[in-house]
Amino acid sequence: MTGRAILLMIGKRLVALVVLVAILSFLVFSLVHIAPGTAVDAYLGGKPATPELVQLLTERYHLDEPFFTQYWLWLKDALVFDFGESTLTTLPVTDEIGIRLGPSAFLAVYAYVLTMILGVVPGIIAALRQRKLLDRGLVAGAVVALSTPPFVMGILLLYLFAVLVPIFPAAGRGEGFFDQLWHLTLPALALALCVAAFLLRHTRASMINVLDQDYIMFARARGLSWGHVLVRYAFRNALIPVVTVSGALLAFFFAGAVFVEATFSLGGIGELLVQSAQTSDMPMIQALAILIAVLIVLSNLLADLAYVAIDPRIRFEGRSA
Amino acid sequence: MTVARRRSLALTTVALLGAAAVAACSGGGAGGSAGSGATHQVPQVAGPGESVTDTEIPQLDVGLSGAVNTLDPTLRSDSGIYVQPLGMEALLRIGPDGELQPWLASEWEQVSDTVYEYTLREGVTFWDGTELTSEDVKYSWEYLAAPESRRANFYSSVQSIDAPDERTVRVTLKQPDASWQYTPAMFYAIVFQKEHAEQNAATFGQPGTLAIGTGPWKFDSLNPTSGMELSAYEDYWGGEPPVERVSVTFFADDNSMALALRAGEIDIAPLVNGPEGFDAAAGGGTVTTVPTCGTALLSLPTQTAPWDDVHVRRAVAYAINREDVVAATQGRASGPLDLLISPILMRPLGSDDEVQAALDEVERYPYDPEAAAAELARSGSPDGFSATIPAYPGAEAATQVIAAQLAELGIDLRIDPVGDTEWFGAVSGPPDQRPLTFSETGACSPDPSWNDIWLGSANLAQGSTNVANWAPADVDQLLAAGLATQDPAERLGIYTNLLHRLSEDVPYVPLYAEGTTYASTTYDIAGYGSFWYSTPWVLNVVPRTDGAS
Repeated sequence: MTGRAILLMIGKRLVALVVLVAILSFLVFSLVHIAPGTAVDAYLGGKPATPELVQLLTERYHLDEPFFTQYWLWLKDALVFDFGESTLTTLPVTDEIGIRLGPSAFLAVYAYVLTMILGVVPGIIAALRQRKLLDRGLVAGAVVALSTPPFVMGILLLYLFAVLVPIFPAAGRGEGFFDQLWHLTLPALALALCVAAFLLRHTRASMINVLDQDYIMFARARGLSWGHVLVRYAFRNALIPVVTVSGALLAFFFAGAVFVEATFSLGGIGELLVQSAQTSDMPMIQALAILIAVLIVLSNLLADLAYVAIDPRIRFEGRSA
Repeated sequence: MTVARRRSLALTTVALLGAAAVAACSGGGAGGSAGSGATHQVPQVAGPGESVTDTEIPQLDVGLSGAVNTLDPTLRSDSGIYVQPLGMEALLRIGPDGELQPWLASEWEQVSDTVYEYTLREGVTFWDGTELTSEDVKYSWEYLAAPESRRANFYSSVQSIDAPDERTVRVTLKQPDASWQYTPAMFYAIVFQKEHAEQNAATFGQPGTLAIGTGPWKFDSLNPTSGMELSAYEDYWGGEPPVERVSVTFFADDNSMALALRAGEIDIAPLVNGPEGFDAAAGGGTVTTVPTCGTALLSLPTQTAPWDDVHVRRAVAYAINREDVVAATQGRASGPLDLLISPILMRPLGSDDEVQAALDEVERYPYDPEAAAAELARSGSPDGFSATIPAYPGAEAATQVIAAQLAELGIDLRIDPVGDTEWFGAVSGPPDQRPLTFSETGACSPDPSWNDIWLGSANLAQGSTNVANWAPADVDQLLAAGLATQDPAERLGIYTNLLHRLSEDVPYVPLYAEGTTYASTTYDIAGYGSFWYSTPWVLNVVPRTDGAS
């Protein structure tokens, strides 16, 4: 694939992203609008308030305006990247997301790296030791990890390594690189193990499939070293379906870690998303939905670029034209 | 926390594990009292500004369930109300028997029916060394009373707040309001520095700006996603506090906070939402629950068929077995209660005997299935009926018990689990659509008028909480009369009459006295009760002498 073709592909994806965000923001806005309970109800929290306060808040959040006016008022600020203030905490949405972005990104990348290491490496080993004891053990372990939801894994890890053998902290996210690494090891493991188990089975199957191919046998027959065949022929080809899966993983870890975030009190993006949905916090929901959409599109773009790097024969022009 | 301490804790944890597992599997516990911690006595508070203990504590690690977004007391700040009073103080304090005690104000006086004067204590300084003046109090209270303030409803009877001289604050009310006397002792009347708040009007209370107060602990930093740090103010008017640093960690839920307590990462959790679950996760023997003046209740929509029939409502009141509802609260309740106005709130209105005699006259609805059936037979729906009851997250268990009990009567309730926001919207929305629902009162104020929030025509407005839609004219008059006089005997008569009216019409079925719970294995909170967070409560934290270790 030429450099120009790649740039064209990236350009098309970015245009698609803008369209997607526009549609998404309207859909999310509509859904929150029809959900029962308003931002004022959430802010007042069922505690008595003066009628003046109710009136003031209703006007401040334009809840007395027609639906399309409300959406337009949000949109015209959002177009200049002003996402407003959280209706629940009254802090600017960008500040609220900003302080959670770093730790959530750290956790997502950490869990992603762990998933790759714990999924791909044992997956290849299991494939190479097919039907041996090690393979059986790894696959059995994967079944257990796969059937354990991250929040259960989280509580188990918390109990084992923060309470019984207190080598990791029970809560919080730490400051600075190494402190964060220490704080986020258990959460990242809790997130990673389940997905890594899935990836292990995926990698194993893909690798076994490739190892059965004729070109592997011919490569061996031509006298190429086993290591060379494994890395250049088997591994590269087996990796393509793995990359497909991993593309969506980063965004999933970023926004879908809510149970793990709650278990370890990390104060991350996932928790914020759930809280804002529960409290009809429209500015926050909108900003987060857009952020997550952008992340999903970008991580898929990265995965597609990784295909090209792994296998230059892969073309995208035909597909996206 | 040292490594050795952690090790010993870990060993204790191992030892407790078996016991905890047994307790967790035994299914709720028959006793109803949450954990063994409830057996010891909560110690008494010390004098104004004084710490209960003189033991030096270099750092107190505090766990809070829920975050603090801002220190601005006029905004919604979730757990903010528990940390704000560590640095920003009130003028008075509620004593152990509900009486008023001095705090930032050394003296106070009711000059007339509508005028109150407070004399500020000498030598109280803010953290930057400037002196507390009546201008700061005036500014703080006007800020709290402003229309956009979340606390404005507590100031609705205030006409003006004046500062005639540096040490005097004068409050003039629009009309007599007996509940005002307690307001200066509450967390919604805390004082901060005017100059700092004015200079930082746009960001006051936010993480970068914080607030400046006179309290024993200074706000050093706040991160809404993780926690906050406070340090002792050496020149505190009550003497340098013995706890040098207070480090607060925010937890997403009780469970992770319990494990952190168990791991020794926090010393104390001043407020626990689900005591039994917390105690099981924390290893047992950690929680102490005391009663508050809040009353949990079942509200009956008095203007909506078939609930508009008083016989239906009385039948429901007879059909509820409060003991079972209490058991379903997992330790949140401190005991059954069959009066809407907590006896704790009636206490200041007379001697114990006088109050008891008055309350004894009020007709109650004890659990009586036969009486319930008889009342239903007299109603317009003698064969029972079906209805829907929304339950907010956390209310499901109590709602299920209520539904099961009413099913025996022939009333078939369909439980509709709803989110918090939807529930808030329903109970304070259009009065004729307010639902049949279970509710806890939560924080209460010390005056018997506290439960007025559930009653009367004023609370039918949007955002107000007359959930039962019950506003007879004579009740409106009783509510007004109760606030118009400060004569205890007269007020005892009025609130007893109100209780009579509540018994007669049954807009609400009182269920239990709400409790409040703290958890620790090493500390206690002296004077812990309904108003624990209206004073700098860390002054009341005292190492436990019989503590487990």
